[in-house]
Amino acid sequence: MTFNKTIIPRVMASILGQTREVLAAEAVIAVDGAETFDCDVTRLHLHDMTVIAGLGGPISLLIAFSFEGSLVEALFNRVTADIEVPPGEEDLYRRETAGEIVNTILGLCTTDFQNIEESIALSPPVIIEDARCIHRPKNAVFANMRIRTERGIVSVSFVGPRDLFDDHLNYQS
Amino acid sequence: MSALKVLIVDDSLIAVKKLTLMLEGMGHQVVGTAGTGAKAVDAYRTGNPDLVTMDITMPDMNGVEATARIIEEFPAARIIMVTSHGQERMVIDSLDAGAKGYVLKPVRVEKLSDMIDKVMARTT
Repeated sequence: MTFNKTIIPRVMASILGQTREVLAAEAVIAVDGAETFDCDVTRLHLHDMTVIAGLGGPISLLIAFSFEGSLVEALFNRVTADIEVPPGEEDLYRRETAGEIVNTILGLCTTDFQNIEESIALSPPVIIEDARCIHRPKNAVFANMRIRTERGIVSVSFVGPRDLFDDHLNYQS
Repeated sequence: MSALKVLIVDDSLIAVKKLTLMLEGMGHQVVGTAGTGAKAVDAYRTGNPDLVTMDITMPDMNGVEATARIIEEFPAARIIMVTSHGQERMVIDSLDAGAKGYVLKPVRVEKLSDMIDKVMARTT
């Protein structure tokens, strides 16, 4: 298992920078600021829609982006403005929008780790709705960053080592 | 350039819709879509496209592996990676697998059109 928790601050900084770029480019939404919490938290509180993806290889983290509903709605309206959303499929497209935004942010983050020779694998995003919190199992490391935008908050949670969990954040004992 | 038959390989519904809109706007025809690497290989056999846009992060088989499989069977295949995955190591792996170009998301129509022109000029 390759995991070095000192990499978390570097990944946080990368995600903040790429989130600012992607939200501006894709949805003309400005990031107003961000605050971070240390690794001692015992549980993570989630918002309305949460997208989880894993960064593998030397980074070895699961990363959960939890969006407030107002931000999801703003992203959905902007991202789907030029495509046809069939009636009744709005919720599907909201989830797809959140997943694609997270996939783009994390993919671009890999450009900030060019000095790592090993390929950084990125897992397809998994989307969960209506979950309220995640408790920290033994041996896991949590860290959290709250990014404030003009349209709502996205909380980004870092959970490692990656190998302790499956893609749904279920603990692998 | 005459209209191209294009296969889009991407597991994101939003990305497929946006790429279709851009490609059709350029006058090309989308002859198929696939949401996994494994399905991409089958879709290539069926659709016989002039060009493939290939994502990297997908379920069951990633885009680099799917590219290698397609090139193994169809050495002249023109595959452009369209992905957010910007790590240099991944770009090198993709080109080693046989991709002819690499476009980073978020995709802009000018960026995609320019890459298609370059790839077609090199391979026809």
